Amino acid sequence: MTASTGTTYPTVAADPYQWPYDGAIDPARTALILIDWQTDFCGPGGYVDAMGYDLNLTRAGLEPTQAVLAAARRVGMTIIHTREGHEPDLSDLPPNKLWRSKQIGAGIGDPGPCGRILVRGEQGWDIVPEVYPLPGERVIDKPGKGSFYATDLELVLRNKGITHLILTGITTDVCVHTTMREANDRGFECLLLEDCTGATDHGNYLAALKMVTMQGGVFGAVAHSSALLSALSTPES
Amino acid sequence: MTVVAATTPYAWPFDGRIDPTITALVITGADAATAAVTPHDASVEANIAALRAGLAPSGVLVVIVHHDLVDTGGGHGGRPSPDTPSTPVSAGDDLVVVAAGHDGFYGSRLDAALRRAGRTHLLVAGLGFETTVHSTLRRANDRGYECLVIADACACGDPSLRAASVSSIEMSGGIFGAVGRTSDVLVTYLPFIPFIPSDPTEEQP
Repeated sequence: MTASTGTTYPTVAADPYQWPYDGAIDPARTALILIDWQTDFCGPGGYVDAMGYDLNLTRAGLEPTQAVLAAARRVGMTIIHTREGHEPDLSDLPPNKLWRSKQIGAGIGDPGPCGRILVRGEQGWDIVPEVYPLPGERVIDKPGKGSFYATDLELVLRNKGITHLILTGITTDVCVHTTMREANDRGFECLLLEDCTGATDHGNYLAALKMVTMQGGVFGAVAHSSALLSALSTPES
Repeated sequence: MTVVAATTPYAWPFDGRIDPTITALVITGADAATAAVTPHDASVEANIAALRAGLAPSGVLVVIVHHDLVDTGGGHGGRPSPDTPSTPVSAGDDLVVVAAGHDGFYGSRLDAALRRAGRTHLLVAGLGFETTVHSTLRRANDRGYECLVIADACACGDPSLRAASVSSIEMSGGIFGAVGRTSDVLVTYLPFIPFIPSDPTEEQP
């Protein structure tokens, strides 16, 4: 557990409200979540590449995420990485998910340039070097899109006293949105960094951001990473 | 193999099992609070009513989901009401579950009720396409349910987000399932409605 230094940071200019709603950012209660920065989703030869999507769209958020990760480590936030993938025997893979992946020509478990697609332990399943976890940073392996389903993420966050989440990762409308929705339902106060995420379709990326901000921030708030970095460079106490 | 006509991006369901006894119609966002932030859409409300009336006699389990968000916390500001909000979906005789979030599975008996009734295939509709429908769909899909979203029976909180709400289901070969229409769903399950002949001994007027 990261020892709290007691230092807090000012709120972030976000849409549709100044984040977080309850005042200063406290690194002892805040976790940075890095969702599925895996070769399968943003690297050549991975799952998304095999489906024929433009990797530049899913890689776009990688560089700003590196800067946010460095700042979060510096101020002592909890860092959590997630990976989507399945056991080598595919026993945790729902049959309809397998069927759909085969229909589109990128069958989960099939051999690809980076090993078996979306299988734990394979090269394509691992996190890309730019944001690779440091020793001590928890990595959550998940079988689905949501990071809370069939994982111990909520237990880990509660044990650490985490109440606030800052989200980055891919893809915006799928795994990031599903995780943000789950977290919001569970009462976590969430901020999505708009330039630290991307989707396979730009229109769906924009719509996913807008959905967060509906109804006064129905799933939390959205900000640019520069606003967060600026806040984290201004200690309050 | 039977499927619902004209579903995208694949012919639903993946296993060709059109069987009312393994199927549930899940209507999310049926509560007054969700209706209050969802603009009125007469055709969506008519389609939801038609699905309930048309599918229940075939043996499809109808589940109505209410969302009680008081425990969600957060400081999210006002929830501006549209000029003409939707009408909440009445409970009627259908199974009602209360969820503690936008996701109908969260803090509710929805999963237990569906499993106990042997329902693996879900037809999903409701108020709040971007909120309650999508959150429930995503959780159902992660749990392995085979889902068809009936788009013309889903009311949007923000109608400009309808196309993306559909498109994000269809990506990657149907990442959360498939999308279909009310009329095609009704026609598919119609043959399962038992024919009950009138009693010939009954006096005719």
